[in-house]
Amino acid sequence: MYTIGGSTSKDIDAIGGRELARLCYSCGICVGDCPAARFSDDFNPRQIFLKVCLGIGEDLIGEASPVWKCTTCYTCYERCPAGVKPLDVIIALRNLSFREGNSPENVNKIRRSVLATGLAGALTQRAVGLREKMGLPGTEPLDEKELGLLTGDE
Amino acid sequence: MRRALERLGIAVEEETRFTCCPDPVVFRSASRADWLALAARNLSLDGETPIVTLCPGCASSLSEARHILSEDAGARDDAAARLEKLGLSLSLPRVSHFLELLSGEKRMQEIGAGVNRKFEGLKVACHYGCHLTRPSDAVDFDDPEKPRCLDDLVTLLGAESLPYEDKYLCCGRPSLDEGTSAAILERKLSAMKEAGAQAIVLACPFCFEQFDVGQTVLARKTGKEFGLPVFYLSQLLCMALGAAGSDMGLGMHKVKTGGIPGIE
Repeated sequence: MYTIGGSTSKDIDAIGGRELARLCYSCGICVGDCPAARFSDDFNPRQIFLKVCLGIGEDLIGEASPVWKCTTCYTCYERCPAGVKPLDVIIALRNLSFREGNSPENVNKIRRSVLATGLAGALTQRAVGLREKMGLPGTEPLDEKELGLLTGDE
Repeated sequence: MRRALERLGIAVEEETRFTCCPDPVVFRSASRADWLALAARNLSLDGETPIVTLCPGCASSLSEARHILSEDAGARDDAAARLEKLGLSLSLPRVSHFLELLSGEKRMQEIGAGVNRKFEGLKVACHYGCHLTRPSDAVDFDDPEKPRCLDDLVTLLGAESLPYEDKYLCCGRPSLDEGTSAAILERKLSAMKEAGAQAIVLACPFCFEQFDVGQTVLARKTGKEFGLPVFYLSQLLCMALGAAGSDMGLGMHKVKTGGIPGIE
């Protein structure tokens, strides 16, 4: 068991980390072709997993966490020889960060929109007009009540 | 995409009840559980009828959800219980990006036979969106390290697909950090330009936004002009199969498409 801020390894596992971070033996293949590691100063997947395993990763779910720099390109996921599925661990850390209220505003905005309308961004009048012009049908996604039945921890 | 598929005799029916897939980047970052629940509903709307998408992010997101729901009994039971409240039962149909429907020897021959206008002399840089082939254990299409479906198609349409440095690098768009995203975009555009590309060809709405809108933003902020118009593969395919360029929405692109060989 390791801890991260107010959360534990069990919280990460429950979100989909599935004890994966612990399989990491720090080979660094996830860093080699990582776009976020190459084009920013403080995103290093190997370091992130090491911090998680050592229980010193509180900053990873804090306001200035580097985990939001990940491009979700899955290069690490494809190459990890230990089967860590590094991206799943990053997503779990982002979920914990969201629970702590530390996610970027854009994440909160898109989440609110999807849970209220079913769509990440409401269709503008212009988009509706363009769809009509192209002979495409209208859309009828779920309403807020149905979306509420589907989501949440119950 | 719809017009290109129709021209090849592939029938597509619009599912108007879909919600957002939901996206594998932003929405999933808030709650993986809610992402999986919404994806499970989209998968279950039409039984086992295969789903085809315009966007690799949608295909990847739904395929990964399908993979998780196939392998993990706990996740499957939870999704089934949530769907039951909406009167749905869980289905796990195959999900494909439309490029998958255009690949394979037989289909390539049909496309080749239908081409009545070739983009001779056009040098392009193909860009593969990361989610087109990944995660490969769920998506199961083309090569996740070195895909070739786009190169094969643009070559079939008469254009020349140039090799360039960092060809398989991400476009940068999904990073939620503006600086990282812009730095990756600038690297990609520079490499394409250095290789002598006249245009970019891709098949992802988010990569499109990054290269088209992002390119103009980059020019405004840094003064660096790349002048590389961006085409969705389906636009080139439709024009090659006989559609008029004026029907392809080229006027909506931020980077102007005039002066490119084969494009009126």
